[in-house]
Amino acid sequence: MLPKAKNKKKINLTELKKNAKIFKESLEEKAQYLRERKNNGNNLSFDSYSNS
Amino acid sequence: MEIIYPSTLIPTLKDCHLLLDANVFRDSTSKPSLYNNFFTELKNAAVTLCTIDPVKFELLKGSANDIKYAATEKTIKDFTQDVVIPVQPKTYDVVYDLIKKYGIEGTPLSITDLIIGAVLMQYKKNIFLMTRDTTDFTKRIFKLCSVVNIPNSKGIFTYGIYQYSM
Repeated sequence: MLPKAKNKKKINLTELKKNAKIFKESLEEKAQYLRERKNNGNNLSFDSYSNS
Repeated sequence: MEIIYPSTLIPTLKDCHLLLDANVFRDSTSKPSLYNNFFTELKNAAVTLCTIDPVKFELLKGSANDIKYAATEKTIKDFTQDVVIPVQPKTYDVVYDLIKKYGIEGTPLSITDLIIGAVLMQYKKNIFLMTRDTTDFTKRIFKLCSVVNIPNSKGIFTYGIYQYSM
């Protein structure tokens, strides 16, 4: 049996936009973190080769 | 800007559940009002918007602080009215069947995709999926029932509306 909606109250659009903005910033921050992690990983692997 | 979808979409989804994939929530952050208008139209047609915990995990992981975690959680809750389809022990059994059905095509699938697919298999005609991941849900197993186009600042997001093809 599939569950039905519990919270049927109307969405507060101002709050939705505010949360969406924070959510979007969080996504961008995660993407930046992954890019940096990838770059650092590549550097580490370069260093490890150059030191060997 | 408006959302473009065929006139058959709402009658098709009426009285059913529509499972939202993680990419729908991520994309909604760029135009929350536009997505909200579309979701309200669906809710008015007795479509129950929902998700599953693995999708929530994907969206929540990496949140740098409590404010970001809470904002993400509230956005999911607002759009789905807190409807989360439970992943049951039976769902995991269905995942094994789905893996067999996919064969080699299942190689790139994430665990979340497999569980979404299994939920679609489990609840059959009562549930549809909305996703922008239009390559992993193969038409050999899932029927592409409709397409939704949502314009954004860089172009158009195209979503498939899928159902398990019995």
